[in-house]
Amino acid sequence: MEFVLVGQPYGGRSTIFNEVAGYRAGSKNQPGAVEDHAHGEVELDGERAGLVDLPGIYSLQLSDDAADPAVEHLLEAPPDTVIVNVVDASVLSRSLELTLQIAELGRPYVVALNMMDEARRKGVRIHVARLSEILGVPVVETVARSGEGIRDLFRAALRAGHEARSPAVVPAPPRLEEAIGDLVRLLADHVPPGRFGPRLLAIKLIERDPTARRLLDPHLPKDVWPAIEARLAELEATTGQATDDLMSAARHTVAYKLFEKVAVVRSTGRRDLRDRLDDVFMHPVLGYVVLIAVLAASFALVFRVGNAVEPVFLDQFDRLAAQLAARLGEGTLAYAVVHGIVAGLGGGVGIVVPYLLPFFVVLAVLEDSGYLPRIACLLDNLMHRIGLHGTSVLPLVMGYGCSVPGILATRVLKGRDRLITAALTTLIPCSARMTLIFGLVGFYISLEAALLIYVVDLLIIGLAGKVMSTFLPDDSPALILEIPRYHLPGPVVVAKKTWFRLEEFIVIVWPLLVVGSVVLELIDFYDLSASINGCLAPYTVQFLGFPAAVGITFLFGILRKELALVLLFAALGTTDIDLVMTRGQIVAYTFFATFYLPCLATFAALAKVVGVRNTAVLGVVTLTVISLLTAGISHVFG
Amino acid sequence: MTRRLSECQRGDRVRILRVESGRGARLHLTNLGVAEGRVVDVLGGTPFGGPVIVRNGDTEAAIGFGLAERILVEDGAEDAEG
Repeated sequence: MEFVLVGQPYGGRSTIFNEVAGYRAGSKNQPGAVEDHAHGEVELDGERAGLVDLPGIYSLQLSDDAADPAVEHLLEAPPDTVIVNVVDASVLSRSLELTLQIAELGRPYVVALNMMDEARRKGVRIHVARLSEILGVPVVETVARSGEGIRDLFRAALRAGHEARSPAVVPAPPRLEEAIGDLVRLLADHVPPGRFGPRLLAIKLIERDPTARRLLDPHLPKDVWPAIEARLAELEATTGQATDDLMSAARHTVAYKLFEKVAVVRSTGRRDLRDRLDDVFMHPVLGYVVLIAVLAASFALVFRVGNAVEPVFLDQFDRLAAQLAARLGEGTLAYAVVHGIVAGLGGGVGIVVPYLLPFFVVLAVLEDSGYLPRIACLLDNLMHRIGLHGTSVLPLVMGYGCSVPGILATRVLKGRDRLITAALTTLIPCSARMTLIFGLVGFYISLEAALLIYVVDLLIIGLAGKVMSTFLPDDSPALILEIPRYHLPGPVVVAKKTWFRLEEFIVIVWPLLVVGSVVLELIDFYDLSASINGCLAPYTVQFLGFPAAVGITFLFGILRKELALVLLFAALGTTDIDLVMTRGQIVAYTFFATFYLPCLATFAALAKVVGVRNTAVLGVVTLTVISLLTAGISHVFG
Repeated sequence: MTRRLSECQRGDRVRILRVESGRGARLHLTNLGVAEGRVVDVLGGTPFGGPVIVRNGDTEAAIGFGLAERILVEDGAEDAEG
């Protein structure tokens, strides 16, 4: 048996999932799919069942331009699936519109009236038994954040799965119900085998959902289609409305009537503090002041924590390396391999713990509090300048911490928005690249020059965005975004979110770091640097204008950006870089080493999110453009 | 008086007359309570052509400026369902 959590965004689905899922096995999706479903398992009273958390959906009604994998997953779920409809009880009327559509599927489901605490605070009283009776399914009150009612919810789901009873049919308004009846008669004996009953198909036809046509086409005799179209046209003529609008309007009305039957609102009339927060946070002027303050404070916190903690970890690994050298003998092949493994693991810890951990915590707090969508809203117009929407802000901001989670965050975007945002995220200097910029330009030239690189980078991103959106014109409509209520972030929710993100990062990045480090140790062991530098010389020396010795650092830089800096000192045999390189060369080198290609882990994330082909194209284009710009810098300032 | 949602001010209460957009955007707006016949409160806009924020019942939605320009509204008092 499998439970599928279905609900509108911000309804608490994922909180329930995190609360009960025993483990989180990776996604079953192919690269390029919109968003991964989280899979887990629940164990209850000695029985085990699968658990799937689908991304939030408002409606099962599909538009023709974009297929929704979450809806498809639900429509194609196996027969022993029990749908757990997670409803935000504090916005019951709206949430019931989705519940009505779930009821139309005719499969067993249970309703979780979640956020009951919030509903009670708002003065909403819900007659649970009456709602359960009308829908013909179990309804359980829950507060996911505190775990209240969760056990009862899954017990009810388990029972519903065993009984496999069909839920009640909630009739549509009479005029629509007549049309549904007529269509059901037309479809009569031609209903394809599968999970779509005639009533659901009839409703989908009225919604003009392409799924219905696709499913019916092979089974329905050709002469039935005109009759169906005629009936739909008749409905449009009598109501003066498009049938799909008619259907959603009808659901709105039915849901509202249902809400009135089962709920009483005794409004407290008081304006909550949270309602007043937006008077400042979303204020046309003050909103931006707050935004800049929040972002600055977030980054300051992350870097402060990171800088304080990083040496502690690095010291540990340095000590371990020294012990290994004593044990295995420096200069042996065994030492090279083991040291490579240790350095790779250490590199993982050196990035993860100091910078990513605090970064993810801050991010989860921003997300859980409800501020994140407001950032998207505030920056929407800015993003429009580069052909994107406010929803692309999050990956870009995350990119300043690490490109990998930034790119993974683009999975919530679709099509060209995702491709462009992922490409631009690779151009954001992550914390590792920051050490390069500040360690070279910041140290040998000036802090202002280092900051100038950040400004130039933003210009390049803006330009790249503009160019890409010229080639890939905007096919998506303007921003439509729900602005959720503010919440006090829960420590458990924040901790679990942070952990899931870290886990994903570790799975992708760590193996690459270890393999990469071993390769580098072997290059060193067999003394291949000189020949590699020789091979790269026509490019690095003649085209880019660098000293021959730096060639090898670019190879290291692909594995880990900040390694380029360490290796530069080693390759040039001095830490007084300004003695062997001109200022122009230092700027050009920093620029090139930062941007020529993202690191290997970023490539892996890119391939996962936008596919291998797009990743390869992006790599080639980036390398070409950055090379040309670098050559320009070298020849003008060098 | 008929006007566009993009021209509305903070504090306006308006009834949605028509949404002149593709099916996808219309569906998405409907899900957030912005559909023909419904009444929404305008909570404000962001400067320089940023999104317009509206509230319908308990749901707040930000609507990109370009789309708000394609939503016709009139001064509204009561919601369709009363």
